[in-house]
Parts: sequence; C-alpha cells; structure tokens
Amino acid sequence: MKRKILRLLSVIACCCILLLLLTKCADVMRRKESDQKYLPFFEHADDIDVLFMGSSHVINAVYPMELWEHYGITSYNFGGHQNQLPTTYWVMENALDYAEPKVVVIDCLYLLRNDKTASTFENMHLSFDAFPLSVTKTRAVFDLLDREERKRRKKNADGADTGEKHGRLDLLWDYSVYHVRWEELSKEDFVVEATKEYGAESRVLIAKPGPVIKNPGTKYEGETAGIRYLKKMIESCRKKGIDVVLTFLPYPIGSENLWQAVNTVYDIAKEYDVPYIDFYKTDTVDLTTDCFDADSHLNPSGAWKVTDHLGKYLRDSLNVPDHRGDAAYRYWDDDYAVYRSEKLARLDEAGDLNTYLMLLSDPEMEYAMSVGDMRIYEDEVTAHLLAAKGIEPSETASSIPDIEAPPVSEHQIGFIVYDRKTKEVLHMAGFALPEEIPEEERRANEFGVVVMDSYAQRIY
Amino acid sequence: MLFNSVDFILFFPIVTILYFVIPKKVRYLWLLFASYYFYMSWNAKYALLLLFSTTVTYLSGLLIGKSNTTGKKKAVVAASFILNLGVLFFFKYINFAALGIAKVLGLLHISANIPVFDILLPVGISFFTFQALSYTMDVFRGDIQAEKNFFRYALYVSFFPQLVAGPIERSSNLLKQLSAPKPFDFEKARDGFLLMLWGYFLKLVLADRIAIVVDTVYNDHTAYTGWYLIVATLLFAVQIYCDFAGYSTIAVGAAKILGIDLMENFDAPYLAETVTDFWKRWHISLTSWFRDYLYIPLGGNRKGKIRRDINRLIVFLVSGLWHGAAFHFVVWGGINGLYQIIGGWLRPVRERISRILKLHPDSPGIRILKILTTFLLVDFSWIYFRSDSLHSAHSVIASIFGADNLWILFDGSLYQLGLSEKNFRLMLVCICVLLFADVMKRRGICIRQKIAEQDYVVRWLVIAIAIVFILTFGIYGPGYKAANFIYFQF
Repeated sequence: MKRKILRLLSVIACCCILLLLLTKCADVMRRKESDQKYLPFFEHADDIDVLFMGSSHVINAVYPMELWEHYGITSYNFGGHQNQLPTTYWVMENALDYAEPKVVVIDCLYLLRNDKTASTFENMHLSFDAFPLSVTKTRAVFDLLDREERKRRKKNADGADTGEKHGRLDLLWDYSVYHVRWEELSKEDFVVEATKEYGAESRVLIAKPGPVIKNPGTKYEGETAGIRYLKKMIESCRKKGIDVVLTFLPYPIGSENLWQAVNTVYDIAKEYDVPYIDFYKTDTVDLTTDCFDADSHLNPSGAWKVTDHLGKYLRDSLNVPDHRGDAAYRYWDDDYAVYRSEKLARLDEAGDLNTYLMLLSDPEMEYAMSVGDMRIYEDEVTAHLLAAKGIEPSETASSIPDIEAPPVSEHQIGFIVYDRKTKEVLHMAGFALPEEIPEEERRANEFGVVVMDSYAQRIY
Repeated sequence: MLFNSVDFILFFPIVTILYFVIPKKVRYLWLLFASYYFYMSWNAKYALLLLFSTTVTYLSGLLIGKSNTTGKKKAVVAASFILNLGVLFFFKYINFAALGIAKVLGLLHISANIPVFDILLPVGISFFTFQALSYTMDVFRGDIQAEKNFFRYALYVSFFPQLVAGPIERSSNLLKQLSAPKPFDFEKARDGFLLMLWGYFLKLVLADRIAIVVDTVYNDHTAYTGWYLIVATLLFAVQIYCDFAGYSTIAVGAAKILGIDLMENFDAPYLAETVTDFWKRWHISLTSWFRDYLYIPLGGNRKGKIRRDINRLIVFLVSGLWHGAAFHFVVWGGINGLYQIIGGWLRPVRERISRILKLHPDSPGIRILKILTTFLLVDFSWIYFRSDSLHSAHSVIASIFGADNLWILFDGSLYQLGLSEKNFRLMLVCICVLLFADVMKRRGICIRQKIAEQDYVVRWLVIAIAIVFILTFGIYGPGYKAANFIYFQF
C-alpha cells in the first residue's frame, strides 16, 4: 500500500513538474501582442471604472489615457480587431472576472451580423491569449466555436489565406500554436513591455473618406447573433450592477445595412432603458480630417474628439469619479507620462504638413505657425485642420495668444508647439512646399486608401 | 483518429482507466468497443469491412476446427483467403488492375473503355486483413485452437493500438493475452509510456520535420536537381523509418500500458550489414508474415537454390504490391528481392576477395563500410518508393547520377527547402540522437531501462523534460497540416 501511495505521489510530482515547465514555456513562447495590449489591465483591474467594448472601431476611437489626463477617469479599451458582438460579449465576461467597473460602453457596429468570430483567427488570439485558462474562457471558446460557427467558418474558408486550422484547443492551450516560435525568441519574449495606450491603438494617417449615403431611417426587424449577444451583455451588466452605455462610433457609412444597425440600436436602448450615444447625431468628428481609412476607422484627431465627448458624458451623466490627485492612482500619471512621450515621438515621425497638423489637433497642444507660402491654405484638409484650432489663413498664425513662430523663408512653414497648460515648448518643425504643386488627384495606396498627405514635406 | 491528434490524447487515458476499473471478465468487450470507436472515427461505414473480415476468418476458424479432412480444411482456408483478399483487391487494387489491363490492351492496339472506380482506401485494410488471415492459417496448421468467443476474436482483429498500421500480430501471441487480462503493472505502464514518448519523438520531431524538406524537393524534382535530390533521398530514408517506427512504437507502448505485449517491429534496421539483415530488422511483423504464410508455403529454401531465389523474388514483389497499388512499389519490392538474390550469388566472391585482401569482416571499419553500403543500397530503392511513378523515379535517379551542384551543401541553399537554418540543425541533432539510440540498442543497452534505474526524481524529470521537448519541437498545431502517417494507406 505504502509503495502504491509513493508511486502515486511520484506521478503527481511529475505532472506538477510538467505543468510548471509547460506554463513557463508557454509564457515565453506566446506571441506577445495580446500580453502587451492587456498587461496594464491585469495589473490594475481593481481600479478600472469604465470598460470600452467592441471592435477595432473602439480600439482606434477611444483613448483611455486621454480620459485619465482630462477627466481623471480610469478606463480600459477592450476593443478587438474584427470582434463580432458574441466575441465582445465573451471578452467582457472574461474581463469582468478580474474587474468590477462602474460602466461598460458597448459599440454596436456589428449588430446585424450573424458571425460569432473574427474571420482572421489570429484576432481571436489577440483578444483571448492574455486571459489565463479559466471556466469563463473555456465557456467562451466552446460557445464561440460551436458546431454551427465552425461549419460557417469552413464554408466561408475564413482564415484559409493563412492556412490556419481553427480549433478550440488552440485558444484554450495556445502552446499548440506558439511552440513553433522557439526559433524566433528574443528579449521581448522574456521581458514583456506593455503599451501604455491601455488597449487603444493610434493609427496616424489621414485618409480620404468614402462616400456617405443618407440614412434611410429603416430598422432591422429580425434577430441576429449580434442583437442576441448585445442583449446578453446588457443583461449580464445589469445583474452585476454595472451601467451600460451603447454607442455607434462615427465613420463614413456607405451602406443601408449599417444605417439600419444605427437605427435599430435605438429600439434595444429603449427596451432596456440604457443610454445610446449615436455619434451620427453629435457632429463630433470632421470626416475630411479624421479618418484613418475610407470607411471604418478614426485617426488620432477623430479619436481625441470622440474620447472627449465620451469623457464629458461619463463625468456629467454617469458621475464616473475623477481620481486625479488620489495617491492610490499615481501609477496612472506614471503611465500617462510614458504615453505622452510616445505621442510626442510621433511628431518627429510626421513627414508632411497635414499629418503634423492632424497630430497637433491633440487637445493638449497649442502651436504658433509662420507661413512662407500661402498656397498651403488651398489644401482642403490643411484648411480644415487649421480651422479646427481656430486658425484663419494668414502668414503668421497661432492657436495660442501672444506667441509667434520665428519667420521662415519662401515656400516654408515653421512651427513651435507648446504644452497647453504649462506653455512649455514641446516641439519644433519645418515644412516646405515645392514650387509646383502636382495637379492630379491623389491615388489609392496598396491598401486602397487615398492618403491625404500635404505636398508640404518635412524639412526639419 | 491519429495517434498525434488531440482526440487520441483524450481517448487513450479514458480507455485505459476504464479498462483497469471494470471487471476482468468484460474488459475485452470494453476494448472491442473502444477499438471500433477508434476505427469508425475515420469512416464509420468501413467498419463493416472490418466486421466482414472478422466474421469470415472467425467462421473459417470454427469450420477448420470442425473439419476432419485436410481437403475440407484447405477448402475453408481457400474460401477465407479468397473472400478477404477479394475485398482487399477491390478496395486497393481494382484501379491498378484496370490500368494494367488497359496498358496491355494498348500494347496490343486494342481500344477499350476501362472504368476507373472512385474508391476511398479504407484505413489499415492491408494490416487487419493480413492479421485476420494469419489466424485462419494458424488454426489450419494447428498452431492454435479456434477461438469460440466471437467478440474476443473480433478484438484480436481490431485491437486499436495496432489496427491501422501494425505491428501485424499473430493470434498465438495476441489472442492469448486478450483472453487473460493482467492487472495494472506500474513498471510496465511506465515502460509503455516511455515507448510512446519515443514514438512521438520519432514521428513529431523527426519524421514530420524531415517530411517538409523531402516533400519540397520531391514534389518539384525537376526544379530541385542533383545534390538536392541526394540530400532529400538520404533524408527520406530517415523519414520513413521514423514515421513507421514512430507509429509502431506508440502502438507497442500503448498496448504495453494496457498490459499487452506486441511484437517489436523495428530493430535498428539501418545498422544492418546486409540487405537480408536489413529485412530481418525492418517491419519485422510483415516480413515474418510473408515468410510464414507465403515464402514457406511456396517451398522456402527447401527446393533448391533457384526455387529459393524465385520464391524470394515473389515475396518481395508481393511485398511491394502490398505497400501500394502502383508499379513503382512493385519495382521497389523487386529491387530489394534482387539485392538479396544477387547478394547470395556474390557471397563466395566477397568472401574470396576478403581472404585475398586479408580483410577482417568483423573489424569495426569493415562493419561500418558494410553498414554504409547496405544503407545506400536500401536508400536507392527508396527512390522508387517515394516517387510518384516509375517515370519520376527514373528522372530522379538520372538527376542524382548527374549531380553537379555540390555547392548547395555549403551556401545555405538547404535552408530554403521549407526548414529554417535553426530547424535544419535541430533535425540533424535529432538524427544523431536516433543514431545513438539505435547503436545502443544494437549493443543490447536499453535506454528505457537505464532511465528506469535512476532515482525517481531524475526519472520523472527526464519524462517531464521529454514531454516538453516533444511539445515544443514537434511539428503539429494550426497552420500545419499534420501529415498522415505514411503507412496508413498501405
């Protein structure tokens, strides 16, 4: 008997060693994007008051660090690339295992879709890899990849381009996917450095917006997986005493189906008596300057506006507390400092006048400008970006009173950028327009996006 | 289900635990159920073929037992063989035969519209058919008594560890063990587990990794010429060994955990010093099947040297056909038969040369030379095995003998064949591990035994690290289409 017990113990010990080794190896081998995105959430989950849920529209449109800086609101962006509402539901459920937010903001973009999962399976990994194995995660995987969904994925050949074999196991035990990374391990795999955007992603580019069609005013009458899971999200939050806000983030809508979705959310909001921010009625963004691509995502200029709008709403309508100055939340200031330095670094990378001006639409920044070539005002995008800061066409202009930029040579445009609050000089840059500006229309790049860069190119 | 699938990783522990929990008397029924479930996970309908083969050979056993004349017994054996081989012929060889007839008619300038059947080859049909037929023969020869219990016999034919790719067991060994289940034996189970780990190492880490290089080259052998083909052919010899021996080892290990000893299927074959020796060490269960049920009934070596050689050639031609319904498999078998026949003829010459040159056949240098020569001969025949057709094989051989691109071994070209430099090097290291293990085996040193003799801390640490190694460096997972075990289609 004693021998049997010893043997049993040795087997258990072996299993423990194995589990330990595999866990450690899995941590190292795992692709780090998901960890980098969600690490701050797991570090500070207890302190988070607002969760933003939805697809990539949310990722690109809501900046938690700006909410902290300007409203003292602690939030996290849980938007996921291509996340359908069923996926969003399960991401939220997993997040709620760790956090107890006061408000959950849900974007309803994919309301009328019946898919449960992202067509590119990698995006599912991005959403779920960071969550440790748990009952909720297991339920999520089994529900999202049920027989019907797997059949649909197979029929649509989703992920066929990447040659992926989609399986539940791969999400639950991602070592089956990432073990092949042993040959590409680097320092980053051993020391994870999280991004400080708290789940958001800034996409720096100005795209020509696609054509917007008029809202036909119709609504969708049936039920979709999107509607079903949106309702589940609201009900789940209700049970946990969490306030829900529904949104439809702005972008150029070019299909009736999407307008139907925008309109249908009103019914759901009414049914559950939850607020709905229809950004198409708020006139928050300027599509001429604020799009990252033709028909979906916002660039930082648009995101700052949307974030500001949400900040005001959360503060004024839902009384989400301001934690600024609270010693217990000091690390948010530390993280903001890193985030801010990343923002400033982007100014160095801007290669043309429009991109630079788009980045200067940051509410934290003011600037003075010297213009050596009045032709810059002929560019519609430039004109819109300057007007947004209240700048009229002139040779010297400033968004901040009593400060001027030093004079520049002919065809050049010079900038001095200041911190709005401290008036500290943050950045200086110069651009030059060519003597002859090409007259032809801008062409679409390899991704089909018409990039609205200025012809005034960076010179310093 | 494949041994390297998640399904099997879940299936096997459940089957094993319940096997030892339920009463001994009904254990065989549980294994039978599990075996049919295992087989039906590929194609449920083809379980009827398994059942058919089982029923025919079971009845043949009973009838032979009841027959009192040799004539009647022979008639039953003939009926059993005709029915079983008929099914095998239909599912595996009908299109090959039709093609052969069409070619012959074509040579005679007779046009005929020979139909091509769209038949999916049932997994493991060659294996279970041969295993079932060996039972008929064993009962006929009086080596064993006919099994009365149909379900126990059905388990003998369908025992899941070796059902689809061997080893092809003998009734005298397996049926007896199935009749007397043993209690759980910890040492045996641990040994079986170590065997399974070694099998997974061979399959996942080596065979499937090598397959990437070999497939890249052979699938486009007109683009990859000369030394590319030489490297790929050398690697294919290791791939097919690891693939098949890997599967067999997992099968033997799994059966061992269940308390059942299966026969060893591979015994360091590439350390053989002659081709005849190679065939005593390669796919032992099949070679011995052909020896016992074809070579000996044909007369073996009892009817003179010429008949012996003809019999050998027949056995290897049939063996080639068993491996695949195509001419290049037949040629592969024929070459191996001829190697042995010619080897037999040249033996006195070799011995005389050795005497004249005062060579010591047992000296290490000469032995290594013999091993290398045997390996190269066997590897040459693998070209026919790996190629898609005779034409492709000849094209590959022509390219190999005209090789003029030796630089590809040094300029990094080998790392462009689907494996990165690190992966390629890992493959070479693992091949060295395999070589080391085979040398140890040849010297009678059992590495598993050595591990088992260590302190339990070391023992379990070795097992845990081995599992992590296989899970890390194995070729599996999404984005990778798990190559089926090569031998499934035979």
